[in-house]
Amino acid sequence: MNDYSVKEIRALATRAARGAYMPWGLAEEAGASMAWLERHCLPGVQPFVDLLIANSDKDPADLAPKFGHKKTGSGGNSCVCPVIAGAYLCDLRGTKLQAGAVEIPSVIAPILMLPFLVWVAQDLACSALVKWGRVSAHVGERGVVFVSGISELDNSGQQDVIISLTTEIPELSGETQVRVALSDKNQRVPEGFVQRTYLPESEQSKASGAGGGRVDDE
Amino acid sequence: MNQTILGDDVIKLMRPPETVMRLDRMGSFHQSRLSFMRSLLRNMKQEKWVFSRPVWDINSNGVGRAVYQAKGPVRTYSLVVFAHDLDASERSDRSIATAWDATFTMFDGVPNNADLDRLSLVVPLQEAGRVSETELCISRANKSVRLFGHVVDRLADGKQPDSAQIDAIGYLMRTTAVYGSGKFGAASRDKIKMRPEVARPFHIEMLSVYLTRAFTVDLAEHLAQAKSPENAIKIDPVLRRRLGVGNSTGLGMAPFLVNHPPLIHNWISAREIALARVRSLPAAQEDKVVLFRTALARAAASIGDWHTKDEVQGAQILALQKDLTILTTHVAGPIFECFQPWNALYLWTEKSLSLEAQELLVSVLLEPFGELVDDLLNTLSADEEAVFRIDGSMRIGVLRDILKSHYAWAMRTDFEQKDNRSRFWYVSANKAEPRLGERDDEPDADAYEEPMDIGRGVNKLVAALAPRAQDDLVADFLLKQPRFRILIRRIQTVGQHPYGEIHDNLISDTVRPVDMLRCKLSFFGAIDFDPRSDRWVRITMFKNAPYPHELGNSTQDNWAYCLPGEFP
Repeated sequence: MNDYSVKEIRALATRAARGAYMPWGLAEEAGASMAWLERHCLPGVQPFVDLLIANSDKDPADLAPKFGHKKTGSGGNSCVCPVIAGAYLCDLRGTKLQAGAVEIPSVIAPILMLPFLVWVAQDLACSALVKWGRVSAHVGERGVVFVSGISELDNSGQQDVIISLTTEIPELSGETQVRVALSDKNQRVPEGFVQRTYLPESEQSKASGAGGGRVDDE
Repeated sequence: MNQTILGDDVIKLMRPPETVMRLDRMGSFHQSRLSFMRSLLRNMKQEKWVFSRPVWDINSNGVGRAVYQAKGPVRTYSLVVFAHDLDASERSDRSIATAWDATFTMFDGVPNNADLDRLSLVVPLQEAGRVSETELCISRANKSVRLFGHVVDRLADGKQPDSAQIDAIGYLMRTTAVYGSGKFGAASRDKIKMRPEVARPFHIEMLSVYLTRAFTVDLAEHLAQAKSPENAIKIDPVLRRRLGVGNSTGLGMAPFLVNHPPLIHNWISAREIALARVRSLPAAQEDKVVLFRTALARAAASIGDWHTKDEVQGAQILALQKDLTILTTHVAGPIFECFQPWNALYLWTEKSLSLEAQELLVSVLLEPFGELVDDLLNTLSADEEAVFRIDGSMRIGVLRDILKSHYAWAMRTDFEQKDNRSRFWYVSANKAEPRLGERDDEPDADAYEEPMDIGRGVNKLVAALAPRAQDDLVADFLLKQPRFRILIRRIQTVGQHPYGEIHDNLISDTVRPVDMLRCKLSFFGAIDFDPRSDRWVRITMFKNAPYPHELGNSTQDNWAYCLPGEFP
């Protein structure tokens, strides 16, 4: 196992998301989401790795949910990116959810939406009930409590997600951690995506970089 | 902007971001009493920190380990040092180097033998090793081949080193990287951000370099003693003061100024508020005038010791020296009798002198006024999470207003013109370090481009927004165009933190990244900027500063600049 600080894992996740398929701003949100889950002792790494593998090289525009007046769709696409969907609900500061329950079909790794919904709960000073498959979670201003389906949290398959506001206040353990352990595979996969963002250095650049281009004679 | 630290008079006199945040001006900044090195030493002196060297296990070849401890009122921090026998052929300042004369880590607390044994396996590897939650930063340093050997030889012969050589080089060792929080396994900044003694930016890294400086002298004296136990002497304390720690800084530092708008805003605005507070004073007290003239004389003397072979910087130093003569003559006259005399002096400088001289005056003006400006050191940190979220409920019309207010500089630039987009920033596969490339030389430049092309991005955003109505929501725009998320987050942030944006095109063929490095390093407190190209610079840190064992009895807060023979 490989030991990371939460800050370092966030930086790794951000660059890996960029290498896989996300533009920079969205990649930052993906890194923040994964790091938030891990900081709060929830599984973020595995769903994140599954998401990057599933969507590698896809056009993010094809992974956005289509929000209509009555029902949300995946726009005829095979799946919805949880970071795009979560970021949109978060951007709107909860107004979408205030208008009524939102159903988003075919979301991969839906647990990655939860940190965005915590921020929405903070905006609205209330909590949300989130369901997919057999998983049910209360999302409050300070965190997430799973009511059922805990054994399925690592399941990153496509799920239909239903989100509604609720007056119930979740009881949180408040548990946090500052280090994250990565298996070799879960380290190797993001690092592989990170490599895609790096460009081989030119001779000219080598010669003009720090310490380059002349003998160190002092 | 925090209104509690600003009055109307001060706000009126603040220089606007469009004046301050230009690369040529940022590349003319100098250290000041708000610099981190000076803040750190001031605080440690006030709190009566105790320093010790509990471990010194270095052999006669200079190989082994040592521990330097800095004990504050509540906590202790320890610099763990590993000294190596480095073959001269392996000595390189480049980031791709894999071996160094010495490697270091800042340990949170007091390490035991098991900690030292563990660290001995990973710290010498630097990026290739993994440190842990008890380590706060890692760094490495190489000897100055010319000066280190000279000092050891002279001390071993019972003679003092040549002061001219010390002044020409200025350090025994230079750090080639100091990796801060959250890198290579080290603890996140979250761990220390609530500790008052190191909560200000980069203070733990500065403490690491400060203790490193003590090690460099100890090592030279140790080797002299090992070479000639009968004849060896210690270095003269006056000469020792003139030794700092060298540093080579390259492009790796440049993106920091772009990637942290709230933090950079806080640094720059603190300096600008400090200047405006001094300018707003209605009169000049005699004792302050004396302190100002003394600070100016110190600065002028120190600038005389500033050497470089860089043509651009060399010309600027010559112009600065001439300007300092003019300025010294000007302030010797009866100029302090008018209303707001410090403001009048600043305005005269703005009209009469070079950017280097203007910015040096800013630093010197702050020296007499610690009680008026030092509180701003508490505003330097930033909670960047607080501005991370995008406000998607913002209307497109409001976003357009922010663009007009804060990005006119970008919209004036024609990015169809090749010269304005000829460069691109990327991260090299060789060492995962930022680099600046020629766009035409790389067919996939856009695919690898780091988000440093702010001006060009703004122009693309303006075009993409064109079909949108004023009342449309930013969130709906971003759902369709997620590639603009990073830019809109930035624009919304800069709307609240206007000193957080550089008002220049960072991908033009005329960009000089050393200007960005100079800006950041001046906030650290570095001096003797010596550009080795337009992309990397040598500096000196803690030159003239009291050593740990001298700190308690030091009398001069302004140690960075001193007069010949002065012992601050």
